[in-house]
Amino acid sequence: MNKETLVSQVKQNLSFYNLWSDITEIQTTSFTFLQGKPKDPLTVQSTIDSTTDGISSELTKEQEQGQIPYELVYPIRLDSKLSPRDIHQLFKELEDFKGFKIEKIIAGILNDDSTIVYYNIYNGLVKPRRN
Amino acid sequence: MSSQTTHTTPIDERKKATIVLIHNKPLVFLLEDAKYLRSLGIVGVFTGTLPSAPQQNLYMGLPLLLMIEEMIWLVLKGHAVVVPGKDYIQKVYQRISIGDLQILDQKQEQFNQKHIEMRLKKFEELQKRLNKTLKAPSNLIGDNVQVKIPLTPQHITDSKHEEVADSISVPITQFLASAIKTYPLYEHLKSSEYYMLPGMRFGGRYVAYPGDPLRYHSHLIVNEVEWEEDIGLLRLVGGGRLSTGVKKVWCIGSSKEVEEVEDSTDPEDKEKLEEIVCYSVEWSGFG
Repeated sequence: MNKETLVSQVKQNLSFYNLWSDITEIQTTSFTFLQGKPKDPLTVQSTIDSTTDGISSELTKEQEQGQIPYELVYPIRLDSKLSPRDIHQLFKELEDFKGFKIEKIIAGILNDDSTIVYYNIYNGLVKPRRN
Repeated sequence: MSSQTTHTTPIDERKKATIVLIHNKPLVFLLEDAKYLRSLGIVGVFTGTLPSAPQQNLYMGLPLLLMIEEMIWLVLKGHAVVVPGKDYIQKVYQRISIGDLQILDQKQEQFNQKHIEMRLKKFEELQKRLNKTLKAPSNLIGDNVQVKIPLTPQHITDSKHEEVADSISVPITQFLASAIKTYPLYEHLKSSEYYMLPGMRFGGRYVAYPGDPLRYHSHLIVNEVEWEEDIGLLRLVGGGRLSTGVKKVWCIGSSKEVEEVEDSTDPEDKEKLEEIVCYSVEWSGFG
């Protein structure tokens, strides 16, 4: 299975199963990301810990206006290697591409049986969500 | 042992707590020290059981067992001293020569003599108050003196201690080396004002609390991963799913090597040998 199938499979899952809209591919130097808007805002976000820098201003503005913010998804296969260095690289390339600080990337993890699970990866320490 | 000397010192005068290292386990035996460590955000684990309730870990008491990282932190920050345990004392004993024993005997004799004199003095004072002259039963007083000087290392010459200290320093250094890898992460979290407890109960290296564990639920399940080490996506999913289920966040902490440090224009970054990078994982709530 090549990279294109992985990305398109996650993309399809997002648009047809999770009903995301406005999904676009973002190609950085070495990674492909998916950007899109969820149907409903994702459940209460974890709050960025005071010890790290505040959440990026662009997202908070959108949230204030009651809009659903764009989410960034990184499609990855379950058996791939992912080290802290790789995660660092993910954030770095995405920040270079976007030009502002990225707090969260959603890992879209694909398994052989085409199960896809989504996990938030935050840059830094966060407080658990209140639910 | 020097823990006996700190026994009588009040808490505000005493700067350093005493950690006794027994079989590579850092233990705190004094209540005052345990209180002092808690005020510094070091909680530790109580290990002393009551014979009547050996299964009830709610009722555990002193000694307080610390993590190696906690011990290193306390010593590096100047809050505690480490005192070697039984092995050390046994080694000191093994090196005691006949000459040393004679010195100890002399000290014992001197002590006994002083004690007898003291008691005679008291006896005489009593006599004066009673206005009677009695013959001092000196042999009786002498027989009563049974106080022995405990054979503590304090009574042995410094050179003996140095010899033994040299011989045990190697195993201690080896033992500390095992914790060196995780210490930078511990210190990073500690400097972010987290309280750490051993993380086995949630399958991590540490469980981090935003304050005293008696007041707060823990926030983070912290894992130590090397910079280039594969986290394992299945482990990430498992950790993320568990932590979200128990209202926590699963974290990985890693030491970023010096070559990786960017912003070389910043002079502060140049001096850093390594920095700790943390990432938090939680279930997204969809999919």
